Order: sequence, then C-alpha cells, then structure tokens
Amino acid sequence: MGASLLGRLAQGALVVLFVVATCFALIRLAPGDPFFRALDEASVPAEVRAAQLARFGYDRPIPEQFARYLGNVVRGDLGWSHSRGQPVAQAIATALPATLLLVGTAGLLAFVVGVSLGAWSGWHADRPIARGIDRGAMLLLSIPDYLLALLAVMGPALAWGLFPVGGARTEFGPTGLLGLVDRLHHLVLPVLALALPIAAVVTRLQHAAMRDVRDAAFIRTARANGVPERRIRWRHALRNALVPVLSYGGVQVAAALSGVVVIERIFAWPGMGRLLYDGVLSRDYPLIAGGVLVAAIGTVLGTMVADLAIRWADPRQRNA
Amino acid sequence: MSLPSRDLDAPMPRLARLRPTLLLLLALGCGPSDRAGGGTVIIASPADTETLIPALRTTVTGRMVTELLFDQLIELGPTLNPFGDAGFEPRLAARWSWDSDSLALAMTLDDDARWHDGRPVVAADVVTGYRVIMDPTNGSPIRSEITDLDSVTVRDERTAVLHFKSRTAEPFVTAAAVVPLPSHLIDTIPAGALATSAFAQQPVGSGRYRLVAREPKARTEFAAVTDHYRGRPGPDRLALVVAPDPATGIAKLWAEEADVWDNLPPTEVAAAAAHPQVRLIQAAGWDYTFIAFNYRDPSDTARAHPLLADHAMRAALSHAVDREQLVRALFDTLARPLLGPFVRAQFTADTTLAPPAFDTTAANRLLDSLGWTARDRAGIRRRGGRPLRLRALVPAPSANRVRASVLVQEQLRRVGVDLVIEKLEGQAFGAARDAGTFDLVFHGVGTTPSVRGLRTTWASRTPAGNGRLNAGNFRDTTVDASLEAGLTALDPERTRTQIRTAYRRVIDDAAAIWLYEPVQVAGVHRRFVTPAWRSDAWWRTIGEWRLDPAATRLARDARPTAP
Repeated sequence: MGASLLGRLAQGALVVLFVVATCFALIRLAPGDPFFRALDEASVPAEVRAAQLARFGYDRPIPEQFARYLGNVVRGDLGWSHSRGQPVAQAIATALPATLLLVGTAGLLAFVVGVSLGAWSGWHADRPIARGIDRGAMLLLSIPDYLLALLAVMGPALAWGLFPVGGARTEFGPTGLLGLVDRLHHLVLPVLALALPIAAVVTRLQHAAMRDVRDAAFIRTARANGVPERRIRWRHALRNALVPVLSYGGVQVAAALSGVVVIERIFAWPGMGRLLYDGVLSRDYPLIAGGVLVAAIGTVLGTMVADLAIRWADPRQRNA
Repeated sequence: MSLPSRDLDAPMPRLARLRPTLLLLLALGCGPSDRAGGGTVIIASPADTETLIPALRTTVTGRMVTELLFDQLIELGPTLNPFGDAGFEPRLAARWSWDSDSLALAMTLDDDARWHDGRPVVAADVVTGYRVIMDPTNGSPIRSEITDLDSVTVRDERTAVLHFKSRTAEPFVTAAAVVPLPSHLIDTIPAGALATSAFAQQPVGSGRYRLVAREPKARTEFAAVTDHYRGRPGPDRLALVVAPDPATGIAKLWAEEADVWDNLPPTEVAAAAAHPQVRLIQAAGWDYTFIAFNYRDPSDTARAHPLLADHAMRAALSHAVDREQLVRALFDTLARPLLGPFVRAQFTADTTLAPPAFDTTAANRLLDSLGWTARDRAGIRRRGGRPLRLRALVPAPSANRVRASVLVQEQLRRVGVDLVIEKLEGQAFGAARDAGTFDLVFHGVGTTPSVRGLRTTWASRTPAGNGRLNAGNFRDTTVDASLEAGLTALDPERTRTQIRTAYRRVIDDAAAIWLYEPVQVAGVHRRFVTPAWRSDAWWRTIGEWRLDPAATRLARDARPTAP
C-alpha cells in the first residue's frame, strides 16, 4: 500500500511537471506578452519594453526560463503577477480559499443530493417517481451552466431580491456573526449553479449503477442468507454502486478547482477560475504558471483521493 | 452679507421652532449638513485598475483610481479647452507663472497640501513625479506624453519649475501629466523596482480619497480625507467593485448593490425604466470606431497595398457603407455617425466636415472604373479571374465591433466586395494589427480633450516605438505639417484651424470609413445629487456628490466609525 502510494505520488509529480511545462511553453508561444497593455497602448519606446522583458527574464530561451522558474518554485517563490501588481503566491492565497469554499460546498451538496436521489431512484427504478427523477436529472443536465447561472442572477437575485447578485460579501456590510451569515447568503446562488449540473450527473450515474447492482448475484445471495433489506441496500448495494460515482466525482471536483471560470465570472466570485482567465487574457506568465501548478496539484490529489475512496468501496480494487 | 428681512409678527418658521432639536442633532454629529454629505458610493466596473501609481496607468479605470488617490498640479476644467491655461484649474499648484524666457513654468504649491501621511507636499515631490515618468526602467507610458518637457527643478520648497524645450499649444496638458509623488517614500526605492514595491501596493497619495484596502481584480476601497486642502469630499467612502461580466455588474446597479455603472449599453438603458432608483445621465462620448484602410501590402509592408493604395478604391468602399443605418442598428439613438478622426466633444471638433456619403451608385461606378466589372455567381466582383476580396481584422472581445463588422460585410457584399472577417482575441488582434497583416481593421480609439494623440494615429513620423496606432500606415505631408503647426502654435484659434485642416485632409483622402461615436449613458443611484457630469472624467467631481436629504439612505451610508 505504502509503495503503491509513493508510486502514485511520483506519477502525480510527473503529471504536474508535464502540465506546468506545457502551459509554460504554450502561453509564451501565443501572441503578446505581460506588457502588452501597459507598454503598447501609449506608445512606449521599444527599448523600454525590451528592458522590462529582460528584467523579468522573458527574453531568455523558454527552457532556461522554465529551469529558473522551477528553481524559484523550489525556493517558494512563484513570481510576480504583472496584471495584479502583487506576488503570485499572495494572489493564489486570496483566490484559492474562495474557490475551495465554492467548489467544496457545491461538491458536497451535489454528491449528497445526487447519491441519495440516484441510489433511491435506481433501487426503485420501476416506480414512476424514480423514472421522473432520472428524467429530471437529464433535463437539468441539458441546461448549460452559464445559462443556469444567468437565470439565477436574473430570477432569485434580481427579480425576486432573495439573494445578492454577485460578489463574495456585501460591500461595507456586517461583520462578526452577521458577516458570516452574509457570506453564506452570497454563497447560495453560485453554489447552486455549480452543484445542480454535477448533482444531475451524479444522480444519473448512481441511478444506473444502483439499478444494475440490485439484481446482481451477490445481492440475491445476501438476501437468501437472510441479511436485512436495509443492510443489503446501504451496505452491499450502495457501496458497490458508488465506484463509478467516486471515479467521476474525484476528477470533477478536482478539475473544478481551475475550471469554474463561468460561474466565477457571472457571480463576480474572486476565485481561481477568474484568476487563471484574467491571467491568460493579460498574458501574465507567472500568474498562469502558478495557477496551473496549483490546479494540477489539486487535480492529481483529487484523483488520488478518489482512487482511495474507490479502494474503500470496492475491495477488489485493493489488489489491482 | 445681510440677512433677508423677516416679518416679526409672522409665526415662527417651522425650522426655527425646531432649533433646539436641531442643535441637539448637530451636537450628536448628525445635523442637516451631515445628512447632505457622507454616504458610500460603490462603483461597479468590468475592469480593475492596472496600477495605483499615476505614472504607470494606461486605462480609463487606471486614470480614475489614480486621480482619486493623487491630485494633479493642475486639472483640466469643464470647458475641456486644452490650449493655454484658460481651461485649467489649480490643484496642488495654487498658482503658476511663466518666466521671462517663456519656457520655464513656475508652479507654486498650495500651502495646505499634504500627503495622506501628513507630510507637506513640496517641490521635490514634483521632481520625483517627473523622474518616475522619465526613468526608462519604470516603463511609464506617460513618458511619450511629455516629450516637450526638458526638466523639472526646485526653486524653493514650495515652487517647482517645469522647463520646456519649446513652447507648444498644450504646455498645461504636460504640466497636468506630471503628477507629484511623495519623494520621502519614492526616492528610496531602487531603480526599476517601483511597480513591485510596497508603495505600489499601498501608496500614500495627495487626493481627496486615500486607499483603505485592495483585493486586485475584486475591490478597491477608499476613504475620504477629511482634512484635505480642497475641503472634505462629500461621500465618506468609495469602493470600486469589479464585476467582470457586465450583465452582473449592471444587475448590481439595479439591485442597489452598486451606485454607479458609468457606461450602460443601449439594451440596458431601456431596462433602466424598471429600476426607478437609478437615474440615467447622458454625456458626450470620447471613444470612436472606424475602419482603417491599410495603405501597405499585408504580405510585404515595404510595398503599397495593391488595392487600397488607390484613392478610388477607398472612396468606393466608403460610399458603400450606410453608417446611419449601422448606427441605428447597433445603438439606436445612443451613438452618432463619426465625422472624422475626432469626437464632437473635442475643442477642435469641426461639425461642418462630412465623410463620403452613403451612395451605392457612386461606389459601383468607382469599382467599375477600376476594372472590377465581372461578377461571380455570388455577385462578388472579379478582375483578371480574381475575386474582390478583402480581409478585415476585428477584436473578438468588442461586441459592438463584431456586430458592426457583420453589417459592413453585408453592405459591401451588395456592391460586390467580399469582406472576410477575421475575429481575433485581444492580444492576437493587437499583434496582427501591429504587424500590418490585414486589409482593413476595425479600430477603436479612446481619445481625450488633448489633440497631441493625433501624432500617434495620423502622423507619418512618430518617435521611436510609436506609430502602432497608425495601423493603416497613413502618410501625408499636409497632415504632418498641419499637426505640427497646430501643436506648436500659441494661439488657440490658430491651433484649432490647423488641426481642422489635418482632419479635413484625412477625411478627403478616404483614409478610413468613419463608423460611430457612442454617447455615454451612466446609471447613478438617485439618492445622490451630482454636479454637472464630466464626460471626459466623471469621477473628478465625485467629491461634490451629496446625498439627497429627501432620499432614503441605504445601510452602507451610515457614517463609518473612526478606526
């Protein structure tokens, strides 16, 4: 187990290195550079631009830049964000908790709701209400996430005034306990907009897996051995049926660390998605590299956690 | 001043009867004047400032934020006349005078001007502001705006002298661009390290608002400087809140989560009727859009363009575009067809000028005369077996220009021209435009009351590194001469005449298809009473905003408690 984990960690480190190196090179090959806006608009002499590029080492060959970058990362220096005017580590330290809160809450909600609904409807797949849940999930899945988010802004927030339109908190709003309530209030719509499509996928996956498992031989055996129905359903059936959901969920939540751009843009949520999106638009090389590094580590760790969960759910995987 | 007479037998006015109560309220710090002042203004914006240092700003949001934090020596007033000093108002400089050689401008600082840390603003701070701009390691974009300035020196503690290389039409525009910076904090920062310094993240300014907190790309919070030399500003607090998606930002205005959105699109202007708490303010626009023709061959910029170097071709294309219809389709009444390389709000604008009129008969006749007579089955003209096809660069992030390009494409198709639209992401668009690899480019220009920017958009010879804004490589000696004569004339009327000559020449040469200049429509919460809206820089009067005593305050308007 320990050797396997170490192996996975080494494999993960290589994946992270490959992803960061690829992004590092690709963004430098794209047109523009970090000083595109600052030094082009008002026609700054070319030597000023060249001096700035040299100052940050952007005039060096890409492999040399990457080697220097890795050296700096090892020393804990992720560089300077040109577009934000602050160290990259500081920018990530501000954005990452916001995204973790959003993604974590949405992921938890999506899995609790999705697994519960999917497991119940899959076990009772012949009932009309179960078929309704499955089709409802299908319907929800077919709505693009940006549309769902915009509808949330226009309806519950703007038309009905139930929730704030955007942001992570009320400007000059309450502090202390009321401040916490205010933050939770701001969290509701982005979490729902993010969680509902994931919950729909989880519901459908769980529904299908549970439906397949309920007629499996080991369930019939357990039933013949007199195992209580409740224990069969939740202990034996659900545990087996969780495997595809855990597999999907690990990747989905980890990928969401860097991929909730649309939700963060629409709800003006100051997280990692916006950080990376703004970084790419402004060719903020260090910010992109730092953001990709964190996202890649998150994805690798998320996948590993999902694998561990799958091993817990399916003993056959432990020896695989 | 005498008081108005009052009938002593008349009943005591209601206000006077309430005097003891009023005195009590005043004593508690919430009297009538207090009610009118104060409040919190939340400015929603799709973009954040790129810097907090005036010398490093490049965008309109950057201008707004840095002008809130730092006062200029002098400021262009509401007349928007950039020539001479008649249109300028004192700020950090209380007064100014020319030396006898007419090249040295002595600026005497206001005795009460202070930095936010309490230190007085001194002449050395003006020198520091100038030095930061001129230091190439800082990469200040302002440097190219003050090329007429030779040096800045200290005459005494309260007097800085700006030495010009020669007298120009806009010396006070230059003086306004040199924003004093606190020498006691800046001078210790190593060369080239200003942008990454602690000062750049938490600057100490001289403006009517000081920085309280900042989360880049999310929010910037300001507090009123209560003992400011220009007087305490009205609103106690300001916040710039970034909403990257305009729909969300504007929805925040409708939902009273924000108080200002300074440039509403036409669709949202119509929606404002459903939100009575928002007042719409219309002002002249300073942005304009045109289609620049490339005079050089995209495949070899050393050669003239095989089609567009011909005036007849450019004129034909200009005649083929119905600008009135295009403006109506895109903006309804919230824009006007552009007259030339200027906006109507500029001091030098000439509304008697007229670009080629929409006339498809003239366009067809010109194209026929150039030998493009055959047509293929799609109706596209051909000559020597080649279709009349032109490639247009369009920036994908600009929704208006993308929509305009589709309309222009259809209008040109009607006269047999195949316009291929190439939509590119912001930086890729800029790179392609600068490389000159296009036939036409949908160009957007944000202009200012100053006309010196014409040098970078329409003059042949520009200083090293300049010229990128002259995307089409327009070259004309008459325009060059008129611009130089205008920008060096000391008589405002002569300057205006010369600049108008340059405008006329650019238009007559059919250097571009002049599309539109949108008007600005700002949405502002009604509880604020605002002075006359400055179309070029609305934030400059934000210190004069007052809460309407008759309006209901919001929770955020409560006066902040002292730290």
